[in-house]
Amino acid sequence: MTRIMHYINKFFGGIGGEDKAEYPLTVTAGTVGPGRLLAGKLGDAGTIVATIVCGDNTAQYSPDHIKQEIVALLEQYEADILVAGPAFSSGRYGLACAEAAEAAQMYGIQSVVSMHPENPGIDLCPADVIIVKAGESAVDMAASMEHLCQVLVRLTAGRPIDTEELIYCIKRDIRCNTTSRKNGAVRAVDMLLAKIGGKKFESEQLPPHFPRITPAPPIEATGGPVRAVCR
Amino acid sequence: MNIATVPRVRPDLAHRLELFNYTVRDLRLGEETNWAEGVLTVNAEALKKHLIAEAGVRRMGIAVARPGASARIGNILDAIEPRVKPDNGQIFPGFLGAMDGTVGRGVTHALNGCAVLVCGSVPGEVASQVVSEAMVDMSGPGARYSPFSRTLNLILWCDFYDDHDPVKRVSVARYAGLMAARWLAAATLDHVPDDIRVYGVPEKTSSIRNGPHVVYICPGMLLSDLHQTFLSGSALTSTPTVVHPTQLMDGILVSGNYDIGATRNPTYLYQRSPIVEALFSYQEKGLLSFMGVIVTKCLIEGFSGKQRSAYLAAQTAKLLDAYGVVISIEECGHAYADLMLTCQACEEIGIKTVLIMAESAGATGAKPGPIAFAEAADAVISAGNMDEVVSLPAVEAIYGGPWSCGRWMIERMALDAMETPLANIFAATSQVGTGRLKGETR
Repeated sequence: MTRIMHYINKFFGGIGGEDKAEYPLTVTAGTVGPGRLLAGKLGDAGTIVATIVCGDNTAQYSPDHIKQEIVALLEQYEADILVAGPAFSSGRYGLACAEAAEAAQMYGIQSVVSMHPENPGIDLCPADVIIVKAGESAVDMAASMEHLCQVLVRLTAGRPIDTEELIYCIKRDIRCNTTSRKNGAVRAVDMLLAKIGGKKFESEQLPPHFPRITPAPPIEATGGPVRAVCR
Repeated sequence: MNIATVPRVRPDLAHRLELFNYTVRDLRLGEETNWAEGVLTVNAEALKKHLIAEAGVRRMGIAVARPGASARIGNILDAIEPRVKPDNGQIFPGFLGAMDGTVGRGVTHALNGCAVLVCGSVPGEVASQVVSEAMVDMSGPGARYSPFSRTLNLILWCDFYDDHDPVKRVSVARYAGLMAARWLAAATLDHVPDDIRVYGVPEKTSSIRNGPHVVYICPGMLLSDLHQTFLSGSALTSTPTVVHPTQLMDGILVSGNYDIGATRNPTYLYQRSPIVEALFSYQEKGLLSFMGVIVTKCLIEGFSGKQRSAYLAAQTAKLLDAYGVVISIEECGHAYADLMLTCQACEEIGIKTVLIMAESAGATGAKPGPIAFAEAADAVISAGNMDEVVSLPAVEAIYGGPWSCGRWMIERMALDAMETPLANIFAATSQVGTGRLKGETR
């Protein structure tokens, strides 16, 4: 069965709140906190072999050291996949999840992280990390876990993770360097001749896509002053 | 081969240059400076003496770095291919001689396969601008990126007088590099080349005027005294200038840009411009006619200045009868506004464009695209993401000074293993089409 290592922060690990932000990295065999929910959903698709709990500040103070510790634990527990979160919209927790994902990349295994689309941790995740959308807060735990579980079931069954199909995965348009057979100059002249000749060509860089947002219709004049209400 | 019996082919080329290539398969330091059977031997003492007397350097270290060696070269200012012209022809006009009718015409000798790498520590700011790091690894994972990991390099490590400010230092190093290039190539003057290439744009009436007419628009960096480009010895202006592609081969463009290492266009890449080579090679096959090079400036201040240069360049291309243009660029940031405006100006008057542009997508590749991207820019070549981080192993030898002076690597021992963004690797994502690196979306 696929062996999963779960990374969560001190809050979800049941250690405490902000006052425990400097809680050291610890490991517990089996599931802790939200991991129990995930394990129940996963069934035979995978087993959570251990859970890493760490304070969010601790993870930021010495990232290199923490990553090395995680790599050692992944090795010790012979993990096949690392799962981090859900971090929801918690910024430091998101950064810590990205750090754990980096450690998984260093060790050479796939990682899946769960966080809100606006969590700053997303930008720090390495390119090959699968990011599953989570809600804004722990209120959305059940739905977030359901999506995470669906991705893990696919992964452990060896099915591809297609971000077009799985709309709850975050499509990141990560740019990665690769090597071409021809140098840039020859590619440029080839592309120019194709463009002049009306033939098909594929631009190597596309303009950034900014969705057009239709503005709301103007507020109807009431004759009196317009009051804006802030909630 | 006897030079006198070289077939004088293609008489219908205007401003015709015969490039005599002397291939360098090995580079050694020795008693005498000569080129024989592919081996370039350099008398380092004589070269040193020449450069100390003529260029104004205080002291100079000379070393050889070969591809595959466990060596790192730091503090690189420029790379130059050794070239010389016989019979009082001018090479590097504006620096080593006057601009005259020989530039880009007649015969030029080139030591092909080697490069002079001018290095020097230039700390300090000038008008908030600094000399940035540019390094080359001769082996290992770092050697995948710089074109100068594959050349036999003669390293000139300049030591400057204490009272020379940064501008004076880079100027001295520039002269030293160009002088060394001519001095070395002079060793070929009485020898027969192992390859002769003939280049030139087709005459108006030429029968080889086939295929679409193509022009190369080549903007060079100009922002400050530490970040500039010279056209025949004078700093570039934003008024586009038309030059013969063969004049690039004779060093009409010289780099004076010491900003971000990866996106610099060193002098070597003007002399052996990959775009010029590709266009000539396609012209040879009858697929296009190469009509000329438009040199202009990038990183122009102010939007109206950018517009002025872009529209002047486009209309110059039109007057050269261009049906298509390749546009390169130097640097990043708002240089891309210059690039995009030039593209837009060309497309507006029916000239098809292809641009070459590096990417600055962040270490993870997640950062959004460039600051400007015109709708008309539908054909863009990627020169790779300069923010990608690479791990370089420790090396046995360091050239160019034991300490790197760049913005990112202050006081780091250069021999050690290190992680660095590609931005610090010399010409790694140069936007003149030299590399095979490109970005793709995953």
